[in-house]
Amino acid sequence: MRANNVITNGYYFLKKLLLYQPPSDPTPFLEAFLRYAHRVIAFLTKANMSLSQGHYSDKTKNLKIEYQALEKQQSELEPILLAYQSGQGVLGERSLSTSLEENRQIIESLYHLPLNKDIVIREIDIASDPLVKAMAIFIDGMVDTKIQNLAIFQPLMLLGSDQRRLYDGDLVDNIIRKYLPTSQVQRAGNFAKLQEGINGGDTALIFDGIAEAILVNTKGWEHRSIEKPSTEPTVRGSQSGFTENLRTNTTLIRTIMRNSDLVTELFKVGQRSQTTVAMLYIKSVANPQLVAEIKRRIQGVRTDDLESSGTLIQFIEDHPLLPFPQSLSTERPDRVGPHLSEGRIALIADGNPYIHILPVSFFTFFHASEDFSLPFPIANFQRFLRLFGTLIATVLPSLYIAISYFHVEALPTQLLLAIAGSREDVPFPAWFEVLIMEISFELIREAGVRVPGVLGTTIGIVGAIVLGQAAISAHIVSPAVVVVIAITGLASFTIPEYLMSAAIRLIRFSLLLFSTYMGLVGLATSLLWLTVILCSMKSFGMPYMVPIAPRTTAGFDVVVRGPVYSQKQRPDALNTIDQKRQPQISRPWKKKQPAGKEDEE
Amino acid sequence: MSYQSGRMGTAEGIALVFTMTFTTIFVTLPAELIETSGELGWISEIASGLSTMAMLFLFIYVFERFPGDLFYVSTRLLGKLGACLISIYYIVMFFSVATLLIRDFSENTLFAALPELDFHLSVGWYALSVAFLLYFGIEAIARAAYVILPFSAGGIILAFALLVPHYKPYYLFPWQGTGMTNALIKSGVLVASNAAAPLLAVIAKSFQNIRVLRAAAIFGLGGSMLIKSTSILILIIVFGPSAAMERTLPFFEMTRLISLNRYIQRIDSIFIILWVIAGIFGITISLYMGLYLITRLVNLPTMKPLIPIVTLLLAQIAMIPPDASSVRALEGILVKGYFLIGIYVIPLLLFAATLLNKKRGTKCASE
Repeated sequence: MRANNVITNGYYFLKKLLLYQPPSDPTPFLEAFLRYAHRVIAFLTKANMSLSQGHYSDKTKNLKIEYQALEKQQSELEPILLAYQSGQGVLGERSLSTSLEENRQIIESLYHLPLNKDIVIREIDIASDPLVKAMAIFIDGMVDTKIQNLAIFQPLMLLGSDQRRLYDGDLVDNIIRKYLPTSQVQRAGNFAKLQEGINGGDTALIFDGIAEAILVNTKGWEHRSIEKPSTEPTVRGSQSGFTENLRTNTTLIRTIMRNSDLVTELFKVGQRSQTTVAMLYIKSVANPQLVAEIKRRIQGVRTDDLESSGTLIQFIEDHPLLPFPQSLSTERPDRVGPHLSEGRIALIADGNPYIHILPVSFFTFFHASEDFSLPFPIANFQRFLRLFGTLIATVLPSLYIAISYFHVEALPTQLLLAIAGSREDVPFPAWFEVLIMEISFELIREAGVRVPGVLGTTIGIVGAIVLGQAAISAHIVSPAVVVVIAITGLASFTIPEYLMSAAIRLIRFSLLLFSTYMGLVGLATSLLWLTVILCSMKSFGMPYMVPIAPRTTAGFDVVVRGPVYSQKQRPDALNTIDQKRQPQISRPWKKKQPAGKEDEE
Repeated sequence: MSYQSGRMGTAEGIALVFTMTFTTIFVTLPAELIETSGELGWISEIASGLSTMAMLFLFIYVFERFPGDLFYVSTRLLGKLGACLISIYYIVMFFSVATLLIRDFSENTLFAALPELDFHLSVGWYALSVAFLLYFGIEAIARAAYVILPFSAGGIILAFALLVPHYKPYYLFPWQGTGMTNALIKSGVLVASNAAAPLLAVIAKSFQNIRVLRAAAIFGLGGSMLIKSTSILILIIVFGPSAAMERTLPFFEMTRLISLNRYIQRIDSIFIILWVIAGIFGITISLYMGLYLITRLVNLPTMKPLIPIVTLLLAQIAMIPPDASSVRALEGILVKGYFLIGIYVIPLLLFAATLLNKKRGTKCASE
């Protein structure tokens, strides 16, 4: 009887914690297995003794009967073991068994067969001496059956012969080297890897007596072909857009950036969805600290399902609570290429045609894809037009409200009289008019996006005209407000990036609220808050307002785009390994004799 | 959060000093300078700017030898007690500047922008805006100040340009006003418009190096000195010295005169955006400096819990003076007395202590 005091209790607690003690009452399941193990040991000892004594004929019969009994007991115990393991949730972590039947049972359990109808388990016999029993597991619809037939079943089943001895040496290696004419194969030793391969469109081959499987790349599901980018049209530049297929997308980038330094790292994100995420960067340019940081963030995401690349970005960005985008999303490979060469990183999520580029500055969102193809004066004019459009889209309604409510003296008298005259029959205050029109505009825009095809645009135009005209005729809003909202709406479409445009729309409402209550004082305060918020933001560690705040060397293509030959440096804020984009003299032909001169001489 | 740490550079330094010192052109100070120096008010402003700059260079001399912030350097040179006294002095000074600015800009708002607004709401608005901004830290505030700086300076220059039809250069005569000696002496006393310039010393550690401090002192203070001096000059040539000294809000009243044609007239309200932003920045930066010194003095890990309490307290204090004239009187006491210690006495004291320390160090080395 132990003394019941603190010291003794502490001692026994520590002992319990540190020393293993077998359970006093093992479960019946374990007892059954222990009995089976004892029987196997006894049988092996008996067989060993019999064989060493040399009385084969007498005892073989008895041993055979005993062996069959053991086999029967094992087959009875297997389902119990499987049920126990699946209950513990460790089935997927198990290594493959040498027993084909056991492997099959585990796969059936993992994929919920026969409930699950698109998992196919195809049993095959491979001609060899002795015959190799095998099975192929794949998901119907995710594999290319042509590749499967030609590269797996035909060489293994039809082209084999009874003369070959596959079990001599390493069977898996033999098959991979001699009988699988396909470009990509992998070996899998556990069910986790096996599942990953099968779920990704591979065909898994498991062989009797071998605790290893072969994953043959037979990916071949249906997907959209390369089409024109639907949300990023361009006057100049490439006309191909990304698709939902990750490999197609990486290939599209590689066709633009044919560089051996371009690295594609793959990650699996989403415990259940197991979405493949690709991270692309140019190893000799991108900041290694940035690469490591992005990798750390991606690997640190814990979620069940990753719906899209946008979801991933929300998981890893610095300020998920702010509406401003912190990465540039694009469906154009010709936009990704230049950003990669500047030292940025591209993230692709399988199943999503939008590639995210990071880190970015606030000003990157005002670059359009054709900027790279246009002469710099035109590109700059368009950029400033977009920035002006953004300013209008942000402040125009609030400026109208602030001036018409609190500072009417700022308006020329005739304009003031015209506005007052047009508002005479309107029963609502100006802020309410603006709010009605803003919400109507948003409704038309959202409906235009949701209604399919050409009808969407028609609804947008007709809705705007009809609603605007009807609202004026019904004296719900004044013509001045319609003009203000129309200009604001039009200006908001000059922002090339959808997410930035959405953020500006949202900000506009808060600015409206401030100016309704505090006039220009409210507008000034809210603009100041906005500026400070923007200056406090970071895009994956890089200040959001570079190259202005903090002041850095921009590389002549961040706010203002210089002539291509003057863009000698990469943006300073990216801290790239190689800062130089092109040599000091990027046009050496200017220093040489013109070709025509030879003729003159 | 970030994979790369940053410190404030030249741009941020210039923006902080410029924003903190040029804000006074939106309040009554230009009129007060004209009252004391007459037609030479603009010279007074330049002289006051130059004397403040000289004092800043004394600070820079000290920081060149003892890198750190004001609290650390004062502790090294004057001991813990000396550092505590200096910190407490500057806390009171920056909080006074913040309080006066809250009151001044609240009054401005009532007078020039929202006459029907409740006075308490006006003070509360500034307090709320400032408290919100303080949470983002000095780096974001300084960067925002730099982003806004070209618009502020550009806006003021534009206003001066649009006033050209109202210029009457003969208002500058007799050009010696109340006398050059008087103007220069008064400039030494009326350095209140640059009272917050020692902020460079308070947060010296936050800047990248001593060159940043030097550039901030030259370009930040120099730029604001030029703008303020030009503003006083234009105020004189637009209104004449006798009318100018009676203006409560000289800048606002100057912009009210702008009338080029029937489309560009009475655009004073557009400049509201400019002075509201400048005012909020001024209050925020002074409040930050005071709070920074408190956290250093009592060794607090963060200033965030102090922000709402101190802002509320200062807003309450800003509401105490019954009218604008009592605010002016209070301002006069602070300007002509208390603020001079921070601008002249403390830099000289630290400079002397550095020299003494250096001499002692040399002596030891030779021994």
